[in-house]
Amino acid sequence: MASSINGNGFITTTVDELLSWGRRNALWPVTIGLACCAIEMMHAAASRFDIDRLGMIFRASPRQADVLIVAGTVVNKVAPMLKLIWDQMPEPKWCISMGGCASAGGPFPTYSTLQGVDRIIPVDVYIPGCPPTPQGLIYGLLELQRKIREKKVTRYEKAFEEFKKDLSPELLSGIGV
Amino acid sequence: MPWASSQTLDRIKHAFRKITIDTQPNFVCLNVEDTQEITNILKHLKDIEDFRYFIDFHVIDFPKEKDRFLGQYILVNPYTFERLAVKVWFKSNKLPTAKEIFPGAKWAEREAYDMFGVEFEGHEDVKRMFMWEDYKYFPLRKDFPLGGIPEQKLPSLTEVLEGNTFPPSHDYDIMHTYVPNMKDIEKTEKSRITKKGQLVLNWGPLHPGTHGTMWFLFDLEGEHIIQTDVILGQLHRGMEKIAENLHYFQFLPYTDRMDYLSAVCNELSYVQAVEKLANIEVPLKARYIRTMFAELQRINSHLLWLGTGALDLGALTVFLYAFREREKIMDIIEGNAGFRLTSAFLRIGGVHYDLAKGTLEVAKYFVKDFYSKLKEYHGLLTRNRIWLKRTKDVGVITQEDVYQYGLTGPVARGSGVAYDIRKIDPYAAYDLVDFDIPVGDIGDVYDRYLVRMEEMYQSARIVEQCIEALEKMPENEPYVNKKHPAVIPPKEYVFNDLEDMVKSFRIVVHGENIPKGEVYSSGENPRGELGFYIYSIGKSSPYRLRIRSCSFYNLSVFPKVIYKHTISDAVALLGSIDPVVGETDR
Amino acid sequence: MNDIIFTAVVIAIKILIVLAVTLGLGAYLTWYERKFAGHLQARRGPTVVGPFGLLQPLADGLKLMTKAPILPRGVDTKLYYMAIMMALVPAIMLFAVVPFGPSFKIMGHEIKPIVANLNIAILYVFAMGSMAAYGTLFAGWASNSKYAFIGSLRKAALIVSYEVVLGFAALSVILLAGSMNVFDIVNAQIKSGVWYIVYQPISFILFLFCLLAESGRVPFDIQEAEAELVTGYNVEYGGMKFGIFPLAEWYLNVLALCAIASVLYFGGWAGPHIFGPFSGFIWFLAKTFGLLFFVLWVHWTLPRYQAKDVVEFAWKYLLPISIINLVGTAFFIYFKG
Repeated sequence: MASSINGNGFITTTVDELLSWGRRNALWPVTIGLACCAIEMMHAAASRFDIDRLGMIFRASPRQADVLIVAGTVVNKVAPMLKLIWDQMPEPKWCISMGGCASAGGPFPTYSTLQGVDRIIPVDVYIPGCPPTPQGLIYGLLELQRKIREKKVTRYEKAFEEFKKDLSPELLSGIGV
Repeated sequence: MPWASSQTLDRIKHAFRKITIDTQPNFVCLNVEDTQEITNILKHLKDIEDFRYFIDFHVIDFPKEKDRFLGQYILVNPYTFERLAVKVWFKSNKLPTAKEIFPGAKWAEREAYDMFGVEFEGHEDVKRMFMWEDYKYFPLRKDFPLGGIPEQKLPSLTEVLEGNTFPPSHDYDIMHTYVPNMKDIEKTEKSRITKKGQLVLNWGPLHPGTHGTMWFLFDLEGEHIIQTDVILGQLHRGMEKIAENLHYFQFLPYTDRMDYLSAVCNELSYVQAVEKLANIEVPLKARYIRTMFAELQRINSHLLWLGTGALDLGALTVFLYAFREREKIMDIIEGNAGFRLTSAFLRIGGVHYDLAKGTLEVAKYFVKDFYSKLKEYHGLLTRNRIWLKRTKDVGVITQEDVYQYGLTGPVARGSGVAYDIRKIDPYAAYDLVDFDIPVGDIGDVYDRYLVRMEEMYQSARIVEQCIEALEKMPENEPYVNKKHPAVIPPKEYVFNDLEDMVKSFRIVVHGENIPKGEVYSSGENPRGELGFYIYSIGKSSPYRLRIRSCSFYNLSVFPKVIYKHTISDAVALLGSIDPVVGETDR
Repeated sequence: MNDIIFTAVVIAIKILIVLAVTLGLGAYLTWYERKFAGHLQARRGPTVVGPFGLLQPLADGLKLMTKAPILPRGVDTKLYYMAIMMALVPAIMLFAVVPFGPSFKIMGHEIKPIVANLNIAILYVFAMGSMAAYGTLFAGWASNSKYAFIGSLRKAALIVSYEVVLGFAALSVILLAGSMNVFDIVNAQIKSGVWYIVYQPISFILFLFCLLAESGRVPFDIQEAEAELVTGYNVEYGGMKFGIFPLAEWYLNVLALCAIASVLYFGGWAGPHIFGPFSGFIWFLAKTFGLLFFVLWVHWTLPRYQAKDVVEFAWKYLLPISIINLVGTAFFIYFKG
C-alpha cells in the first residue's frame, strides 16, 4: 500500500515518514547573517529564488526555527554566541554551513577566525563557494531535505552525550558545554 | 585630492620650528619629533589652519627602531580640500590622546590599543576594540604570526559524530587558536557600560535588525536610551594582517569581502592606491569600464540599503522590490566578471576581462528601466506619512559632528558637507563624466534617505554616459596596461604569448617588487571614503596596509546621536548610517 | 423537554462547526497570506508542498507540533503556559457572536447561525478584545526576556488606547441601530436599505485603525517589530506554543473583527439573492474576506509606526474624532427622530 499511494509524496504509511514529511517541508531558518554569504542568503529569500516556494520562511527567534544557516565567516569572538543560538533551538534541528569560511575558515587562515564552524556545531550540509550562489544554497537545502527523508529523525543529543564522555573538562569549557 | 599646498606647509613650518616636512608625489606629511607637542600641533591645525576634518588615525610597528611605533593622523581641510598627514614616533604608552580634539579618534585609538598594545594618555577607556577582554596578544605587531598561536584542541564535531573515515573527510589541524567562552564575552560586555538606567538591552550581535553582527548595548530608561556602547569585532578577520603577508595582487579579492555590498568600489580604491604607488598608467577604456561598474555597484549597494532600511522600519515589500533590481545588476556583473557578489573584476593596471558581448545593451536597457523603478520607490516611501514620521527630525547629525567624527559619504552629504572624492580628487573616469552631488539640509534620517535616492539617479546618469563613451570606442582598444612590469597580463595573452606567460608566471609566483614609498589614496564608496594607506619598503608585499574604513567612522557617531532617543529611532538611525560589518571590523 | 435537548444539540453542533471552521480557516489563512504576499512581492509563495502549496499549513502544523518542548531558564511556568490559552481562547470566543447568515428553518425550528445570540454582543466583542491583551502581557512577563518584556509593555499601551477608540467608534453605529444585538443591527440596515458605512464613514475608518492595532498588524505591529525586538513578546516560545500566537492574533482575531466590521458597517449578510439559499452566507463571507484582503494589503505595504507615536495618535487624534462623531450622530438621531 505504501508504495502505491506514495507517488505524490504526501500520503505515507508510517508515523515516522509522516513526521519527516512535515519536517522537511517546513524548514524554517533563523534570520542570522554573519558576513557576505548573508547577502546571498537574503537573495535566496527574495523575488527570483524565493525559498518560500519550498515552505521555508525566516524566523528571527532561534526558538522558532529548525535550521541554522551559518552564512559567513565565524570568528572566534562570535563563536560562543553562535553556539548559544544553536543551543537555544529546539530539537529536531539542523545546521547548514554556507560557504568556504563557515566550512573550513575559507580564505582567512588568521589569528581571529574559527577554522570551520563544525568545531563548535555539528554540521549537516556543507555548501562550497565564496559566497555560494542562491542556487547553491537552495541545492544545499534540498540536500538537507533528502537527508531528513533518508535518516528520519536525527538525534544529536544522544551522540553528543557519547562524545562528551571522551573529552577533557577544559576542552568542554572551550566549546561552551 | 590635492595634498597640502606649499604655502600651507610653509605657514605650518613657520609656526612650529621643530617639525620637518616630507613631500612625496602622493603623500605629504609633517614629522613631529616631540610626542608631547602633538596635541598643540593638532589643535593648531584644527583651529588656525582649518584642518578640521578628521579622516584617520593609525599606527605602524617598527620593532627594530628606537621608538617602536609610528602614529599617523590624516586630516583634511573641508574648505580647500587639502589633505595632510601628521606623523609622530613614540614608544608604547607615550602618546597623548587626540580624543578631546577629534572625538572620532576615540575609536581609532581603541583600535590601535587592541591591535598594537599602545596606550594613550588621557584616554579613559582604552578597551579592546575587536578582540575580547583578556585576549593576550596584539595581533598587528610584527612579531605576531598571521595564523595566531594554537593553544586549544578543537576537533571537527562532524567527524566525531559521524565517525572517522579513511582517507579523512577533513584535512585540518586539530589545534586551534583560543576560542573564548561565554565568560570572556560577558566580561567584555560588563567592561563597556556601567548601568545607569532601568535595564541594559543587548541589541545584537546576532539580531535581525543590526545589519550583520554588530553588538549594541543600550542602557534604557523606559524606551529611551541614556547610554550606548557598540562592541565591534564579531567579524574581525584580520584583513590588515593578511595584506602584510600577501603580494599586492593577491590582496585584491580580499577587498571584495570587506564591504561585500560594494565589491567593485572597494577594488577600485585598492588598485588605485597600488597604481599610484607603482606609477601605472591605466588605459582609457579600463577607466570607463571601472567607472561604469563602480556606479552599477553603487546603485546595487544603495538598493540594499533601501530594502533593508525599509524592512527595519516595517515596510516589508520595498525590500523585495529593491532585490528585484539588484538581481538585474548582479546579472550584468556576473556576465562580465563571472561572479555575482564578490566579483574581483578589476586588476592592477586595468580590468580582468574585456566587456562581455552585449553588456552595453543590457546595461542601457537596465538604466532606462531603472528610472521608472526609482519613481516606484519614491511613490512607496517618499511622501508616506508614516515614513516621514519615522525619519524626519530623527537622528540629526550636525556639520560639526561630520568633521569631528570623520563621517563621510551620504552621511556627510546628508548633513550638508559636499565631500565627494569623485569630484574633489577625480579618479577612474569621473573627471570625464557629468554628475551632481546631492546634499542634505539638516542631516536627519530623511535627508540621508533623499541623498541616497538622488545618488542612485546620478549613478544611473553616469552609467549612461559611460555606455555612450564605451560604444564609441574601437573594439580592440586595450583594457589593461600590460606593458608595465607589475601588471599581470590578461589570460588571453598568457595562453597565446610566451613572453606574457613567463611574465604572468613570474608575478604570480614571486610577486613584483613595488618601489619604496608611501601612499594614501581613497575612493568614494557607497558608504563613504574608503582609503588605503600603503607603506612600501620595496618588496612585493606591503609593509603595512591600513584600511581607512568608512563604516567604522560613520558608526562612531552613533552613541552620541542616539542619546535620549528610543529603540525604534535607533533602528532608523542605524539604517540611515548603513554600516557593513565586514568593513567596520575588517 | 424535547425542545431543550434539541436546543442543546443544535448549540453543540454550532460550536463544533464554528470551532472546526475557524481553526481550519485560521491555519489556511497562513497559506493565503503567504500566497498573497508572494504575489504582491513579485514571487510565488508556497508552490512545492502539495498542489499550489495547499498542504503547506499541514506540514507547518505537523512540524510545529512535534518540535521538542523547551522551557527556557527562569520562566514563570504557570504564566508561561497560561499566556497561550489567554491568547487563543478570547480569539475563538469572538466567533460566538458572529452571525454567519440569516436565520433559517429546519424541521419547523428557527435556527440562527450564531453560537450565542447575545443582546450585548458588541460589548462582548470589546470585552474579548481586551482579554486577548492578557495573552501578550503574560507571555512577555513570563518569558524572562527583555525583548519579550518590552514587546508586551508596548502591546499593553496599545490595547489600552485603542479599546477606548473602538468603543466610541462602534457606539455611533449602536446609536443608529438602537441595539447591541448583531441580528438587530443587520436587520436595521436591511430595513433602511442603506449600509451604515454610508452614514458612518468616519466611524468605519476609526474601527479599521483599531482592528489593525488590536490584531498587531502593520502599521501597528510594534509589539513584535522584528528589527527592534526580534519577534517581540513570543520570542521565547517554540514549537506549537509559538504557533498559537500568530494563529490567534494575526488570523483568528483579524478574521473575527473583520466579520464584526462587516456586520456593523456592511450590512452583514445583506445582498441580492443571486446564489440561491446560501446567498446570505456567501455575501457575509465575501464581505469579511474583502476586509481581510484589505488588512493584508496594508500589512505588506506600509512601514511601521513608533511605539510612542501609536499611542499619541490614538489619544490625540482618534479619540477626539470619535467623540465628535458620536456626539454628531447623537444630535442627528435626536433631531431626525
